[in-house]
Amino acid sequence: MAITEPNKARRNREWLRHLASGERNSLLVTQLAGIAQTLVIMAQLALMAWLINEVIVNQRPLAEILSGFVGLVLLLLLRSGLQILQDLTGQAAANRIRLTVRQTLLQQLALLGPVHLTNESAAGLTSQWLEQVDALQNYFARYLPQMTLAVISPLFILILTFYLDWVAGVFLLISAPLIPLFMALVGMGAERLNQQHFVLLKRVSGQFLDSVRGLTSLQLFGLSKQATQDVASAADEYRRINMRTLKLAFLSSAVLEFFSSIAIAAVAMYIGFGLLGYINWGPAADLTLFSGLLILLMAPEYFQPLRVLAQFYHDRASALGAADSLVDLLEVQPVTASSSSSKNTDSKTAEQNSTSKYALEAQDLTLNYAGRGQVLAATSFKLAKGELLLITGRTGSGKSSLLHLMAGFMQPTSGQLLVNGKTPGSEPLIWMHQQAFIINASWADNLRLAAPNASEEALLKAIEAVGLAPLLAQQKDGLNTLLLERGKNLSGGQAQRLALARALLTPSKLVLLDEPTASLDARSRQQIYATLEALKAQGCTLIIASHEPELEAFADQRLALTDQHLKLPTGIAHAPA
Amino acid sequence: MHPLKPWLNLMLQDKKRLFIGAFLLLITYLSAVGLLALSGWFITATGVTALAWAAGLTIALDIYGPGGGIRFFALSRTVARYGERVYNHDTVLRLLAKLRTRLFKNLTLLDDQTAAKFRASQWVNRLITDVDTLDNLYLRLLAPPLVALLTVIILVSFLAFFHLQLAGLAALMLLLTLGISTWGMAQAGKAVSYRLVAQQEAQRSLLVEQIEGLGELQASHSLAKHQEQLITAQQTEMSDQQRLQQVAAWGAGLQTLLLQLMVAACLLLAAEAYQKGWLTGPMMVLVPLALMALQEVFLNLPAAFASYGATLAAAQRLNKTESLETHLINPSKPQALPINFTLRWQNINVKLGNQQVFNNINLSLKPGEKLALLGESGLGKSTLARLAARLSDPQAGEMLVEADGKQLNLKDFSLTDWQAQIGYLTQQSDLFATSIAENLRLAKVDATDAELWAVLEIVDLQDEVAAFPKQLNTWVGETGRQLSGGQARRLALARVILKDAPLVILDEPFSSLDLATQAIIRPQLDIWLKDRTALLLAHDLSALPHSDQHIHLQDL
Repeated sequence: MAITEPNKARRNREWLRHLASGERNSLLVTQLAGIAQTLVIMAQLALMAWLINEVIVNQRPLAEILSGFVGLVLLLLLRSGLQILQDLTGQAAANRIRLTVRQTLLQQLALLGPVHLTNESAAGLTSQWLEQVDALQNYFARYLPQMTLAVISPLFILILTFYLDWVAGVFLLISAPLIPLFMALVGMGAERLNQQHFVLLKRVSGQFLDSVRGLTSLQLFGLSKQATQDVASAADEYRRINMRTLKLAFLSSAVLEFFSSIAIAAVAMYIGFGLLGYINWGPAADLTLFSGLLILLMAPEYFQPLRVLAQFYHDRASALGAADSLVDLLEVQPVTASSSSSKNTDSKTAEQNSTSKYALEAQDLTLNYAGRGQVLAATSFKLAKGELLLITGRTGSGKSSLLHLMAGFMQPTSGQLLVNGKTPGSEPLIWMHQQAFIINASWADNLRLAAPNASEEALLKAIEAVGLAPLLAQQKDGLNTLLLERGKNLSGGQAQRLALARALLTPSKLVLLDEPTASLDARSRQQIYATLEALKAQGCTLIIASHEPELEAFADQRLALTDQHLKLPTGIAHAPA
Repeated sequence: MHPLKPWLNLMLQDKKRLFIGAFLLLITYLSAVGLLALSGWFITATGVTALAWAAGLTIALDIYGPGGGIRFFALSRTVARYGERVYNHDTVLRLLAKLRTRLFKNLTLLDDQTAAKFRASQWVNRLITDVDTLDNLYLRLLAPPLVALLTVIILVSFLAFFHLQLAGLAALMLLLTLGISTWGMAQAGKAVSYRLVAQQEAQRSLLVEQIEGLGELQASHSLAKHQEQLITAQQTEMSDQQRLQQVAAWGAGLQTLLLQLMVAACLLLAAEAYQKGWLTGPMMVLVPLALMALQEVFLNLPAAFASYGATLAAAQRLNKTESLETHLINPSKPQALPINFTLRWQNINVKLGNQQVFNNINLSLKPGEKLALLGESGLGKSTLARLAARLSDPQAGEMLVEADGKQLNLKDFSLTDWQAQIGYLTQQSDLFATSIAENLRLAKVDATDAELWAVLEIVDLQDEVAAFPKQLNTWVGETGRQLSGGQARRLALARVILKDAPLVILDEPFSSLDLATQAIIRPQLDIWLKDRTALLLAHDLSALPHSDQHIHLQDL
């Protein structure tokens, strides 16, 4: 478990402070409403003490002081109104902050790009985006405003108490500073525990997702019991960490309760003895039932803001715990700058070369991969528009990485690569992964994933082109039939053909295909080749990484990658453009 | 049946813990009421006594009894509060951990088609968020209102001794407040908080989709649109959350108002009673102060009940998960597995969706035989293999095991015993987000590194793994995406080999592999398969290791 260094903790706090500064005004309204509430409560208590005093000490008939009761009701209405105002403005501000954070996170994920994200668990990232951002809510809505209230509200009560009886004021004064001290001690541990909590939550989410997806494998390897045991111990650890966090939070509020209870008891005793005249020093002789009762009634209110703060202290720890991992994520730099960041810097080059007749121009291209060493050795080649480039080579020789470079997901370690004369990724292109990407939605939704505005007609045409029309005809609801996640109700070949059909719907002229026909049978393969030819006839440039020998017949150029060296194109019948 | 009932029953299994927890909560509440009430009584009593003394009367006032009481309540409030919180949270968290394990266990018992009724991200949501939501049930929805009610009853009964009318009024207003803060809030917030759970799940699915399809989305420049969709979903959720926050805020405000109005009204009644001589001065003060302390008892009710709908929705969804049952029958008295047997597909019908792919299929696989099933994708090869591995059972026809002249149905064997005999390379390489070594050890938990290297050699992966800086400890990425398709395929194959099962099923073993690699692996695989029975599936013979017999599915 990484222990947060002091400067990392400062970084997290600064991030939270920065977020709060965007909502300064709303948070100020929240605080003012809270302070006003304290003043109204003080007035209410004073009025009650006065009423009791008038009845018991001055023996006034109720009819004479009825206006006091009317005043009480008015104050109560005001008090409730202020409470609602404080609550709503705080929550609204925190809502807006969460929205901002979520948008920033989405941008960061896009910036990191698909290659980086293979290192991360999708469920883990999702839990960051949902649960951890939600953990910020109460920090801004409740904890931050309460911080101010915990200082200012007791101060008002203290002043009035000192005015009424300075000895009672001293009681309250000395008991208060001890509280933040204890709470800070307890809170330091809570923060670390909260970080552990989030790390664990992320891990457990990932573990669950993995087990659910690999369910069949777990069953086939007879590991269901083992996996259940793993989950049981993870769930138990989750519980223990949770419990430790909670115990600390409860301890901090218990410390507070203890001091406030003791102080209330001490004030009550002091006032009681003072009223009886047992205390012969200080201001005790001047105590009346009114001042005594008022001090007693205010004593719990004096501690209330601090108690509320202690309740919310957990919110602070959660927020700091969440901030730690969120800022970590936000600070990750893409290993090689991704397309979106480089787009602007290279726009000049892009303009200059936009008339390039080459679809691809590579010069001394190399790529090193963290953890995998050199993936591509220096290479140069050119591919004219409308041609088909076949990249061959043993698995692991860097075929996929070269496609990643062309898609703009990564930038080369050195050398230059231009796509249609521009920086890779600056134009939309079609990308098909080794595993067909099928979502748990309808056929139509799946096809529209990369082309949201495609007409139904276009969808049907694309399905026809990849040879899935007969299958679609058997579907109950046609294009609206639901597909299961990862295409589980399609065969491997069908899923890939569907993913290929998606590629046909985008207007892009460039298609990158990574092993498109790997698991297709002979007839389906022929259908795919026909589709690829049709695309080519429409002026598309196709780059295919594959070791399917049949594809060589379609290739204008061939690039053979060996494990460490990249052979220059052994162009087969390079047709002049 | 009410959706919460199964979960309430689950909680009630440990009645003792629940009652101890509720008792601690009651002590906390009563101490808070006692502390303020007794303090008020004491101060007033001393004030009144002082006045009497000033008037020359001699009245005795016991100051040690009440003083001790105040100190006792001060202490018991703190201790009971801390104890109650730790104890009750511990109870509930234990329960949730147990619940999580139970749900997961149920999941592992499902056949994959049934489990696929929910997306993977939905399963995660059930196991994490929904289970967490259930902690509300006891900690916020059950114990606090019930104990609050009990506190109200005790306090009102006490007051009834002194002033029946006042106690009646207090009881009426307190019950009204309690009703609004619980039932009323639940009604007001139900629809919205119910929606919220579903909205969160939808967002989770969208985001998982976005992360996993980032390549496809980014390349086609449709990421912005997808992000927009997510942000819209997020804004909808946020406005619903805001509505819920409003309900909770107004509820809390209304509760404060009602409680304080009741205090004011009771003060008025008490003052009147005092003037009529029905109540003493100290008692007149005790009454409003005791009632005022109830503010703390009621404090968290409105917010908790405003999100009652979320708990309800979570419980309903968990109920749905719990009600899923595997299609596969596991016999209570399983037959012993014979050692050498012929596996027979008898009069099998196979449907994919609404499509009838096979009618009356008959096939057999003799001990030691290598049978190749050839055919195009989508014909149902994999379905026949799944029947053999009992990942599903035939809709019509039977899977039979013949040995020593006896015929047994596959369903008569224990599911786990049967699957332990089978090494099955499925069409998709299911790799886990862990290291290469851990992925391999799924097949054999105690395999040594040497054994791992040996199986990697059979699939010609040892040189590539040796070239990785972390070698066997290389992280394969989520669903193996850190490896190339061919590497992932060979790793999955190596894992099946490591399992060392007598009956082997290989579904497209060489997909994503180049011809050179296939040529290296094929003879090594032939040697490994020599003494085993094998069912081999591919589109043609060239994509398979050696087989004794092959059948074209079209000919069946």
